[in-house]
Amino acid sequence: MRPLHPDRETRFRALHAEAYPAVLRFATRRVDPSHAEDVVADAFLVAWRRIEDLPPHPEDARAWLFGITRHCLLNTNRGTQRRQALTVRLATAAPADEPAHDGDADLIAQRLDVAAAWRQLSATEQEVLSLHLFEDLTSPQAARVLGISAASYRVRLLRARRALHRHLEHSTPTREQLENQP
Amino acid sequence: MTTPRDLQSDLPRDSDLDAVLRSLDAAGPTSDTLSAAEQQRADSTLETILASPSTAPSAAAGSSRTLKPGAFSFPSPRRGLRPRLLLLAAAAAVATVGVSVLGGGGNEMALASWTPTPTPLSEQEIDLAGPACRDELGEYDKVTLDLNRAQLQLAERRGDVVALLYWTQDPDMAGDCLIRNIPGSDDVEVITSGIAGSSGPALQAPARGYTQGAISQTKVSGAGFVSITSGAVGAEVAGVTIRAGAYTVQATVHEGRYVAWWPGPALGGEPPASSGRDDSTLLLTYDLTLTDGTVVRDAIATLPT
Repeated sequence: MRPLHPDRETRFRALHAEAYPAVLRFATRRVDPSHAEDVVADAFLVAWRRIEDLPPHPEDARAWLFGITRHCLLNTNRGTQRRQALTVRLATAAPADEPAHDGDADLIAQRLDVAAAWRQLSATEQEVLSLHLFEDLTSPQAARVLGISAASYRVRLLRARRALHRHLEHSTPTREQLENQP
Repeated sequence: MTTPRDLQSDLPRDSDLDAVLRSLDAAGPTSDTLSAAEQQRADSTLETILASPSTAPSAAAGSSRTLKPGAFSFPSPRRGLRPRLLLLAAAAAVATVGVSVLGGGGNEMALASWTPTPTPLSEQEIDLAGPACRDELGEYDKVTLDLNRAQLQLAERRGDVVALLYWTQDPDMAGDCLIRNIPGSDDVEVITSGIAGSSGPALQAPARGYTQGAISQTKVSGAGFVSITSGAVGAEVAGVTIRAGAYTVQATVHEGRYVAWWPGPALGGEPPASSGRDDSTLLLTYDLTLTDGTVVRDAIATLPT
């Protein structure tokens, strides 16, 4: 009889080696960086216990892990109400340690505008955009992470983009003011 | 009317926006390379996970018992269960009582969600689980913890189980609870609780060492053994990793105290009999991570003199 455990362990080690950095980046976008590794550890523990469900294709396996990580994050919700979506953080729009150059003011203003508009998005809107932009998932893969159909994901992505445009249009005039400067 | 198909359109505005947003990725520039420290921690996590059961613990009927090497015990009736009072044959008496409260299949599911690494509890979670633990600890009548003075020293979550530890420095008394609480739920049910301590002030740990406090091993109906231990760590100790058979547990360390629990035994061999005879062996080994990064493997505990 073929021993099952070594096979499981081999598959899990391969999964861990291949997907750990991406899962860590996934968590870093959604939780304080000091907790990201803890979340990833929890997610991989769940994956170890569900290794029989591991999709064969690496890209699908990555999406499967993102879904597990998302559930871990939702389950560690600190409020009394369980959340249905996760907010996604952005980096600082204007790094203080970068030297100023010509054109930097415009770029920084643009980044500030976009960052401000992003913060006005709902958690659901941030999630669907992030899975496309940052996690670089296809619609079926992103849909699997969220537990919805691919068609529903595409609709949500469209709505999220529209919301982002809408918030940008009504955002602070910083960028336009800078563009109109002589 | 816009259809999902429109998403395939590559509007310049969207592509510009995408580029700006990608430049704001909180995870930084795309890279699949971990730093050396990240890789080391990832490797450690991997081995810890592989050392854990890959399936839920098997159900095992049984009763509650709380053990301390070299201790004797006697039963005390409470709620029809089987709490134990254990006294060390040491100059400074150390006492432990423990009780398994909860039965049923919920235990197995909750304990199967155990994680090697804990997460701290939020204020809301403490407000939820704290009163349940204090009520539980207030019912002990053989060994008591002054709950008016006891401070919450440690509060952590591992899966669907939260652990709380209330402690007084003098006398050195600690009461702990393992409570089933699905994250986001208002439901709390005490799985096990225990009180341990001594008549004198808490033993100080050397700067690069630790003290081995009471070790409680409880057989929870339907879920096998659960063990919990706590103690003091020195000022230069940043982390404590406890190996207990197949389990490798990262303890919560906070303000000079540590606590760890796991869904498995702490002792091997035959458990202590009520006569005091103890043929059990301690399964635990301790690794200390110091603030300078040094890892002291199989660290020796500071014991009461």
